[in-house]
Amino acid sequence: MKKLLLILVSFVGLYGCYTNYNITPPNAQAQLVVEGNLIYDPLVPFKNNGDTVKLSLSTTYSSATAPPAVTDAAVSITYQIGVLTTINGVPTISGSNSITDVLVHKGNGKYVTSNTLLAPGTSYNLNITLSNGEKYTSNTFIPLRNCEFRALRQTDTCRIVGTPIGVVPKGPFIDLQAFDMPKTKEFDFPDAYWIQTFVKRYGDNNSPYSTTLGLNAGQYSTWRTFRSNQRLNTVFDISNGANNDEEFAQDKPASFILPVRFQSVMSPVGNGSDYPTYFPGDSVKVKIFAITLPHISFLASIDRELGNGTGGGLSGLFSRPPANVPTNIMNVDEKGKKAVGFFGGMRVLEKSIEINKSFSFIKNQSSPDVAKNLVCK
Amino acid sequence: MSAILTLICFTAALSQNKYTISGTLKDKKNGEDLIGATVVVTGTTIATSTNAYGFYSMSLPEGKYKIAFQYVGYKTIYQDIDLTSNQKIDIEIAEDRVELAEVEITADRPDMNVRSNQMSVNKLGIKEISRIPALFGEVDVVRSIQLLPGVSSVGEGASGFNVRGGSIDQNLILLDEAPVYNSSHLFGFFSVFNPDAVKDVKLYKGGIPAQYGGRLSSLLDVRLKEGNSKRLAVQGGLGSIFSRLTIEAPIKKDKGSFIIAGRRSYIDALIAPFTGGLPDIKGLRLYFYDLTLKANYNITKKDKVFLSGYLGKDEFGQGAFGFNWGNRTLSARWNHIFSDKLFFNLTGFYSRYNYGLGAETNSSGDGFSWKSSIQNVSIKPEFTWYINPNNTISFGGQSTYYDFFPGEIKIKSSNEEFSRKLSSKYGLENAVFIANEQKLSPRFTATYGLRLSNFNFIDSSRQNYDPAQSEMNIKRKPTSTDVYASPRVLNQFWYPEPRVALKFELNETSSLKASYMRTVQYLHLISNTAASIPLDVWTPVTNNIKPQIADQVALGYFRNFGSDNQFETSVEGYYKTMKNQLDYVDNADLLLNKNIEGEVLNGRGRAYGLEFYVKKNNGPFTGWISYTLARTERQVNGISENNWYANRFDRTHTLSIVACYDVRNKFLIFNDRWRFAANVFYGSGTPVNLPTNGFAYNNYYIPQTPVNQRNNIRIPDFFRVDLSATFKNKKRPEPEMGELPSNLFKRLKYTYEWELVMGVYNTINMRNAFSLVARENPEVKDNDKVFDGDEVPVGYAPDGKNIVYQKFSVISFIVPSITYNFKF
Repeated sequence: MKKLLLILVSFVGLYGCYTNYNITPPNAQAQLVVEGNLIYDPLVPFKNNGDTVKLSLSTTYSSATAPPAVTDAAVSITYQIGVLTTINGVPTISGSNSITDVLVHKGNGKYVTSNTLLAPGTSYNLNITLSNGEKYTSNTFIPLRNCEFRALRQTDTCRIVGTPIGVVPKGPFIDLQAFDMPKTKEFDFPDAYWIQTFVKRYGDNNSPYSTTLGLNAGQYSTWRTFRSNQRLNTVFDISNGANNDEEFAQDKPASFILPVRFQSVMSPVGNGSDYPTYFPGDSVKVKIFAITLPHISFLASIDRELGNGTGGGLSGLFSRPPANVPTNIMNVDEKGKKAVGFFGGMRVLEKSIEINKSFSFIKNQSSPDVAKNLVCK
Repeated sequence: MSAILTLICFTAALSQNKYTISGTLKDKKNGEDLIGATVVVTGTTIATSTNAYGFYSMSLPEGKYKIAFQYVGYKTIYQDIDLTSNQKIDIEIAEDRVELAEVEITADRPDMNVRSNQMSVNKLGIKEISRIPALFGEVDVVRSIQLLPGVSSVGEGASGFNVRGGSIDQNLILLDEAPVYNSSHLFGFFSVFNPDAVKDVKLYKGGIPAQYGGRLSSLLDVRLKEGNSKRLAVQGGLGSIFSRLTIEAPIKKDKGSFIIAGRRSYIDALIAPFTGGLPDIKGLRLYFYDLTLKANYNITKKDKVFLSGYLGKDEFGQGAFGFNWGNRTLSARWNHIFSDKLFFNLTGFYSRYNYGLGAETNSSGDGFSWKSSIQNVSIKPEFTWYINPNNTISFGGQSTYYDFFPGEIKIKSSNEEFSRKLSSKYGLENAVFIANEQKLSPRFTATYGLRLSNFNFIDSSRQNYDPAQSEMNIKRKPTSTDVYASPRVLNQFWYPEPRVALKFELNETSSLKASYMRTVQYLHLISNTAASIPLDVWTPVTNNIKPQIADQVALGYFRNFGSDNQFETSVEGYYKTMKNQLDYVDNADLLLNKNIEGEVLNGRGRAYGLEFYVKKNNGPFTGWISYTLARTERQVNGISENNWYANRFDRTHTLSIVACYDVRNKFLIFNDRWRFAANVFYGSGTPVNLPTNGFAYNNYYIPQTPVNQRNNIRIPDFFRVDLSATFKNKKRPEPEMGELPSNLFKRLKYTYEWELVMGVYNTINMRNAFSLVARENPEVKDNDKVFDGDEVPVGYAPDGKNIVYQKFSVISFIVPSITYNFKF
């Protein structure tokens, strides 16, 4: 579909154009935005602090100012704690003692836990009271298992699907292999994962992992995902919107969400140059989060909405009507103002790699429109 | 029904001791049947007109009469008859070259506007269409009818057209009786009808005859030429974007003929020099072609057969990637005159619309393909019984079998194959109909009829959904699936469709008309994009998707002015209600979704409006002004908080001015070989969906609309002016002795005609909006990151600078064109 849009743009681009248009959207009322993440790391099994709930307000879509933070709310997380048990070798806490952790505001709308013990299978209730008295609540849990993150490696040659043999763009590319766990009697439900990619530039050791290039972390990456040791099809298949819905997830339990905005064929790589995303000496880190099904629906909706007609060309013409992304944040008063955002429990696996410093890439070595159809050795 | 039959018997009894004259009217020059020509008994108000096959019949008491055979632009032929028995009179009438010079732009009787029993009907002759300034200078049927009252489209580049608040799938588009499912080339810039092969175009916006059904809002009846039955004739044009060639010739002189017409665009070739350096569009394939053909043969004096076909394809592609769609139709017809009063036509047709998307599988085993189609076959016997001058009855039936193939995708990657296929659905639609056009008094005429339609949904499985969720804006899953060993009729629908049209002539120059019609449509076009695209999927009604039903009433006042009905005017008002209109839940996945019925919601619609029309038929200045004031809305439980909301194609004001000036007296360098034309089009904005808010999440900036309302913002008004100038050859001499030489080259002296059409589309360089979008600001090159020390995943920051509202214009500058047309 993206390629189709590219061709349409090519044609209509000969005649069509975009011009700015000033409108004041009707009813642009601000809503509470919640971004709450409880991240369980198996390497830190009894972590109970440092997780965040970030609060802000929505703004007019074309607003030139950053969304304002909500700094004066009362935020707490309540959960049950009791007996430590093991399910399939996974430590799990269950019981009936209720614990409430009042989160501390650390500035810029960010509220941080100090006594929220994370454990797979445990449920957590989020309670927010704004200064005007409005109350919101939400609930999530930490998934019981993650996939098997088998490899993250560098590969230097990939073939673009559909191009003639002999046109072999050269890397560096990142190749990831992740295996979904088979269903078992205890785990007879779909798994869902979110893959995030981070880059730290060579020689920039003081900065956090980030990127300064383009929007497409996956532009020069390949993802090999497996279900019960059967390789799923390319990222193109599994990142297709239709495959991300819950229904399809039940047919193919491994439903991977790539970094949101992974597919954005309209955007050139790195300011329109032909440079690859990764440079020799860069450090690349990949995190795979096991997430809940409502969470993957939320992320899939974001993926759809961000890729739906914002890229220009004809993507606006043939895009679907915009739809609000779902949320699991509820106003205690059903008739009260609604909130947006998500409060999600996750468990993470991560690997990192440093791109071989001796690799020398060649300019103009490949077309930037091949984001998803790379096959690597 | 019994009342109609009683009336028929009664009127039949009154018609005893009368005799009938019948026959056909043809063009003397090329043998084409003349549609809508009039046969008038001079000195009386008795008149009839020819049907779509040029046939007429009228019964008169014994006596002597002077009969006039008329067709505008042709010499009137008078014939004295002594009617003592039934008579067959076939007439060939010749173009009136003097009158042609005076310019006529209607093929109808001058007072047809007032006298005809039909309302809500617009007829455009191909000569009329060819005068309208056109995009790239290419005459186009569908773009021309969009200048008529009550007709609109979402905008330039949109497939299809909207009639009186109906969606594009609610138009029954017939090419020689065979339905065309996608009438667009190049995403709507052109239509599939080759104007060189088209004889007659008639658009019914209301009062659709009972013979036709299956669509809710309109009937576009396109009739092809039969082909010149006198001699070899060639016609064509060299244009800016495509070229045309049409050949027609007799199979056997005055017995049969054929026409074959082809077009091929060459945009790809034209832009190739400019695309070589652009990696995005290098190797672009971008073209369409179509082939239209028709043949007819008079087997006996009472039997004539026709064979019509159309094959068209649009191809877009780049490298191994390809995307295409195309229609093909084949229709065969048999006319038989059972008696002077009973005309019979049997039509059988096949129609297929398919599209494909994919990359070729290469030697490495990579590729994908995706295809979908709808095809149908149909048979339609139809009788016309000319009982007497006051009653003409039509009756017959139709049976159509549908095969819906919603889609299959195959992906091959490193020789691993992934396939997903949705199973075909089938349908059988049947109908019987009867209608009578009855002259109740010299001033009062009524046409009334009934169509009884039936649809059978055929499949080997069906899904059941929870009725309690049927009005919820959620993606629903089937609660159960009924599976059968073989396809069978799973659901059946029956609907009566009454049709009534009344005309009361106030005086010789004015009349009042009223009509009511119910129409039922058993197909839906599944689409939720801003503009319809060829990938939209046709689906039949099922146990979950209900038939569309519309009731429309219309009232009109028709008045002509000036000598020889120089000006015709009309005002029509209509009100239409529609049931079972589909809309879609948020985030609906409509392609290759086996649970698509769980992603649509059934609602209702309403449309109402006023249409004003003034047309000048003759003189150096000709043309028309049409203005429509309209509203079309939907109400779907689960959407927009159950409130009424405007349709995507709701356009409140639409104004079209079409003006043509034929130079008579020399002015500067312009003489009578010049013609000038102009279009002025104004339309108020149509509504679109736009997010109003944004929020930050994980360093993404996500659109959000707190108030749940579909189509919440209107795009700016549309205004466009087009101009054209036509320079044509000197008037050709009349052949000596009135006969053309048999030698083709010698004949050219008398027959070769050409014209050069120079056009400027969008003359005042408007950037009319097709749609509004909220998008990343392309002027911000380096997205500012806002992060506070955390690891930031790839994305962009909620700094608010990156989103702007923009209007998208499909045609954003002046488009000049030049076209050379010829015929001989």
